[in-house]
Amino acid sequence: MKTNLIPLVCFVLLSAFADAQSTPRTPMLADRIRMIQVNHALLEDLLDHGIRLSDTDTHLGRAAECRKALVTIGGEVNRTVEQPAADLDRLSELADQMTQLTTEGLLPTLEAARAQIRAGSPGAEKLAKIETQTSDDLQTLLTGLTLDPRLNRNETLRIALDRLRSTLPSVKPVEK
Amino acid sequence: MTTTCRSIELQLTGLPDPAVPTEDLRAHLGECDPCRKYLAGLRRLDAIVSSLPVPAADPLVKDAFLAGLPALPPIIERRLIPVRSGSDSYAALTRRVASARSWIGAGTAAALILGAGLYFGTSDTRPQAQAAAFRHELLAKEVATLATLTKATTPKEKIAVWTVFLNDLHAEAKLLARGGEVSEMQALSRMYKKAATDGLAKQACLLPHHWTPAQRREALAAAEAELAAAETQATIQADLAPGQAKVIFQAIAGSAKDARARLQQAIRGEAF
Repeated sequence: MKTNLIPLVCFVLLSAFADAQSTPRTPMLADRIRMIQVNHALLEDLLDHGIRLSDTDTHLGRAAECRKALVTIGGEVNRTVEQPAADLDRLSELADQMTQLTTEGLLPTLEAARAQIRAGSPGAEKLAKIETQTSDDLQTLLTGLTLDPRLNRNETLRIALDRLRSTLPSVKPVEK
Repeated sequence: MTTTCRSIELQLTGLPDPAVPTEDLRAHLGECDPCRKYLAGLRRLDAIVSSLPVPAADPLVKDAFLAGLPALPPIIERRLIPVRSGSDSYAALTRRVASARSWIGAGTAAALILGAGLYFGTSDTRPQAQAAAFRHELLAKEVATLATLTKATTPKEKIAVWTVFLNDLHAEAKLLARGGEVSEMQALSRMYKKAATDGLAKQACLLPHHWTPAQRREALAAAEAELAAAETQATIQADLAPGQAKVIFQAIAGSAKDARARLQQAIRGEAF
């Protein structure tokens, strides 16, 4: 009877060792289908933002639309948090997407707008409004997430939120 | 054609699915017309090969193989191990078995402790690995599309972005057809239509009015080739796909065809 345990023990050992490896798993078909089930409404909303971004000719207009896209992802973050068992992996993913959109889309566009717009012009006022709104939106979202006791024990989420927080000084630079 | 392009062609040919080039290949494809055309050709070839019928196995060969199996020797053989002289009493045998059992018990305990140690000792790396595995690729690509569109200033730049995104949507539809729900497939086909019409085709109409048809053709060549490949692929996929997936691929083929017609109008200057 006990001799039958040898293969079992070897299997347990091997499984534990394989499971302990940090190589990321490739999502299976079922995972990918589940992801599109969860995200399809968000994907459609973001596409609408993409079309409006595509239709807009000015830096300011695109920065404003990009902010709205961030608000849409932020809304999805809030909906995820409101669920009784918040999916922390999804929250980290959404936070990382917000960081990417901010750093690769919004910040370079705000930079281009700042270089183009003269101080005191109507454009400068609009630019300041976009900067303030974006900064306030992100700050409100981050504060809410940081205060939620269910969320602050997750290391991956904490790192994702820190990355998003690190964009704030560039969104609304401190006036000299 | 440069040496880089030859290397890129080799890498494109080696892709498991030509509809999904890797990030570094996409970067090159974004700025190289010949490589985009090469990829479009690969996709057409892939669609045609996928549609080829698989010949049925010869039943006689299968029967002969199965009939021959019982005549083969067993994979695992039972062997009797003779007891050595001098220790052939029952008591000696029992002592040896008891000793072996105690070693097995100790080995099992050690293995379980080691296994548990490995599992819990390395558990801090698990959240990152799992989170990385469950990121939604299409969502990431869409956010990257939005980021690029936020920076893009000319219709030509925006056309290139939409062309890549349409390809991403088509690839996702292909995947979803293998087991997704109807509502999600419909959402993807709606997105494809919107991106093709309100994204790509609309920007084609916004190319500078003073451009000649030749300049417009050059600017739209890659997008047109992608749409033609998508139309061909989706038509073949519609023929092969079951039930609702068939309708979705028909819709994608139709959207690609309409958008391509609008691109051709834009090239002729009729859309202005």
